[in-house]
Amino acid sequence: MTEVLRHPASSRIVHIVHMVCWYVLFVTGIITYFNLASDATKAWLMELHIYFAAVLTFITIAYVVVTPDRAFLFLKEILHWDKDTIAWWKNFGGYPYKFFGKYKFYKYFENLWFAKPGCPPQTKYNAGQKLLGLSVVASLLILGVTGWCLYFFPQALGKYWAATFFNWHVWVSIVVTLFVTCCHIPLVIINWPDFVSMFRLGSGTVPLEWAKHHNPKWVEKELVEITEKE
Amino acid sequence: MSEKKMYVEKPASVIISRRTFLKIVGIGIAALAIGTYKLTDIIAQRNKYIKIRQAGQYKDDQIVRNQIAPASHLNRMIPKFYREFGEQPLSEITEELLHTHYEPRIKTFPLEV
Amino acid sequence: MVSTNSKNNKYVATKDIPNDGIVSKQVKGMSVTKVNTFKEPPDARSGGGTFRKGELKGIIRINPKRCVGCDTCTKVCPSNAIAGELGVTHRIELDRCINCGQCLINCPFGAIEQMSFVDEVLSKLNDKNKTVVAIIAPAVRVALAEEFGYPPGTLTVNRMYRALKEAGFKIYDNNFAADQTILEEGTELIARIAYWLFGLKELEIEVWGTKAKFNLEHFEHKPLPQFTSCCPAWIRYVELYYPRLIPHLSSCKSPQQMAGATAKTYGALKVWNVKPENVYTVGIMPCTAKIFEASRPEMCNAWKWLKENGHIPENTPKFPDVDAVLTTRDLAELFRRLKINPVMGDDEEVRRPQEDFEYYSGGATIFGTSGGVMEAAIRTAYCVLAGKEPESWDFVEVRGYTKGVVKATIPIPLSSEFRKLTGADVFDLKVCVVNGIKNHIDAVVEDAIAGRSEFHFIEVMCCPGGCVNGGGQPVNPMGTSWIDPILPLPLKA
Repeated sequence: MTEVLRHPASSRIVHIVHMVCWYVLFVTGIITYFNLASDATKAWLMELHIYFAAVLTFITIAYVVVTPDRAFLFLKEILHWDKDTIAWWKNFGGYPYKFFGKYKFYKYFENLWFAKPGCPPQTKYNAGQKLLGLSVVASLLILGVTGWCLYFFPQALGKYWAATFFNWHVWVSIVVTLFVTCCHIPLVIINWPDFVSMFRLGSGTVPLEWAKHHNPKWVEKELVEITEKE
Repeated sequence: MSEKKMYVEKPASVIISRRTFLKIVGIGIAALAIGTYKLTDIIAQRNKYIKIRQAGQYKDDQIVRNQIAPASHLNRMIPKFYREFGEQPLSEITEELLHTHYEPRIKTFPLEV
Repeated sequence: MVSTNSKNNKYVATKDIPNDGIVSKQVKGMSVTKVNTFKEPPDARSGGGTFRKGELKGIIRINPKRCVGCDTCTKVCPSNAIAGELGVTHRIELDRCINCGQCLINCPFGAIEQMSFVDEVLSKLNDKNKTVVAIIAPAVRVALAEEFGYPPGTLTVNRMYRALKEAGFKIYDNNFAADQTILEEGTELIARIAYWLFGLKELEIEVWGTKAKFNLEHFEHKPLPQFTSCCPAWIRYVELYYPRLIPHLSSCKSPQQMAGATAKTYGALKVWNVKPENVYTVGIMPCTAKIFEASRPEMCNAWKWLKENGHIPENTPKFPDVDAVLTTRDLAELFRRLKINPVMGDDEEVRRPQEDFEYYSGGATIFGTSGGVMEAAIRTAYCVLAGKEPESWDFVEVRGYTKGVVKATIPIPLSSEFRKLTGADVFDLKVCVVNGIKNHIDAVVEDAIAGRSEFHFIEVMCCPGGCVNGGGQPVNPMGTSWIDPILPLPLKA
């Protein structure tokens, strides 16, 4: 079975570090903001919050500086929206039909605009993933800038902007984390080959047939066959 | 020795045309520039309200200087106060009413700052 | 969950109060933030820690429901009096607190509250037996209008006087007291210089056509450099952290306290002809530390003097020189409750002082800004030492603006009398202005204590920019008190 390299090692490392840092930051932030623990615990959690924020900032910058080709490819992918990408939204890539089409109750929904089967051909990331990518990049910027400004010099921002940065920091993180937790994680688990390619202790490959089915335009335009000697 | 075929992405320099590269860089620079400009603007303007209030204070100085007095000893109600009550600066009566003295708050050692 | 929406904190500027339509024509900046206040708790004057019995403790407090632990207050506090780590509710360590209110006006969430005496003052205004006197600070008149929707710096003098009189106050402008302060402190400075730099044991100065004689012996205990003493936060800072500096502090009271003592003696007996014990003095200040200063137990010299000189019965209970203090925000609240608009009309250009205490000089009014006390002192000291007026009344080189520390040398050509006394033609007055205690004070004070200070006179204002940016001023959401660069970027304001 021929394999396609979907996520090289550098991307996978950065993804895992991002993932861990993100959730640690989210949990420490939520507990502190919503007063879900004692003062001493909150103090310790906020210290953790700052350390992990430093790691996240560092790894993001390192990703761009050390492997700029991967960073640029990723940016190009999420910024490049064509007709097929827009068309994906017409029925959410066929996911509603895929999940619920086999149930009897679906016949009540089948005439709704998002209920149809089928999906236009997608590139490496489908439209939903592109949106996620944009959200994550935007939120990393917003959270990073607001977070570090508030940590290093809240006394120089002015009260209005300090309070505004704080509110953005809290609510952007909550909204994006909800998006990630409710959409990205379930869908990634459902698409098991993709999950495995990211987390397997080996190569970040997916089967060629799987790639041809899900990401035909990627296979067609951007891949090249190589021969690996074992 | 066995051979295995697999697929990898073409190099980035092939996939990304110069035009696309410049578009991405352009968006990045625009975002960075606008953000940095706005942020440094916010920081640089942080004391503006203080300066405006100070300017108001100096404006009062200009108004009063011409209509009442520019300096304290030229305020004609001050010599009247001394004539009728205070006698002279540092007199016994002003020492009692207008002067004071201070004591340390911690008698043995001061608090560290 | 903590509410952090600063929009909940805004005032609707002139609802319910008469206005003459000018407000709607003004370009409105962002309206000021509402600051919550609380009444004096029953044990506020019980003393303990670094507070003596009788003086107010806990004038500033942090509301735990609104505090998110952002650390902004910690970063601006000049005396490191705020405890609490990042993310945890902060609290003020009262034993270290100097009551300056910088934390309050810099909190992005409006989480810090101030003790307020508006109710007491209102009840005294309603008391027909009381003569209520308003002691109005210079910085109030450039910021009061902000509480009513106007841009910062809007000068409100004539209009504010009218509004205060309508409310039932008599006026004792703190600027008149500032003129008194300059006379007392300027003379004290010249005396210290005469004693320490020229070895004189007595001095004769001609002021207002009469010769005043001064015995300088007791200046042995008052070394140079002389530090100003009008900022009560600075005074408490010295008492707590640099008690060895105390002999350097001017012995003069602040203008507020001079005003209180004068109002209840000279004012009552000679100007207003009312019974001194019925005079109720209210400081109207841009400052929360002034609330503390008025409550200091030793500040009852009017009562002592009046008793000693038989003007009040021996058994009159003790009363302070200044009975209560309202911040600029408190005054706005008082006007709102009385439905008086202090910003009606547009006639600030011509001043018509009607009573003694409404007269003040240009030097006095600039007390409200950093470098102002210094400039006022120089204007008078120059005239005394040179025997003539300076070429320009503006001594721009001592103005603080948003510079942390200002150093200057003012060459004063000496009059013939002083040339004979000192043997010099010109006296180079070396001065320093400390614009905000935080980050700026330590080197200056340590030099003075060690005896290696190059200065003769040093002005210290606790609040960056001066009293115009004091803890009692309207809270402008678009700025902060931080005048220093943000390292590593040299972003200066």
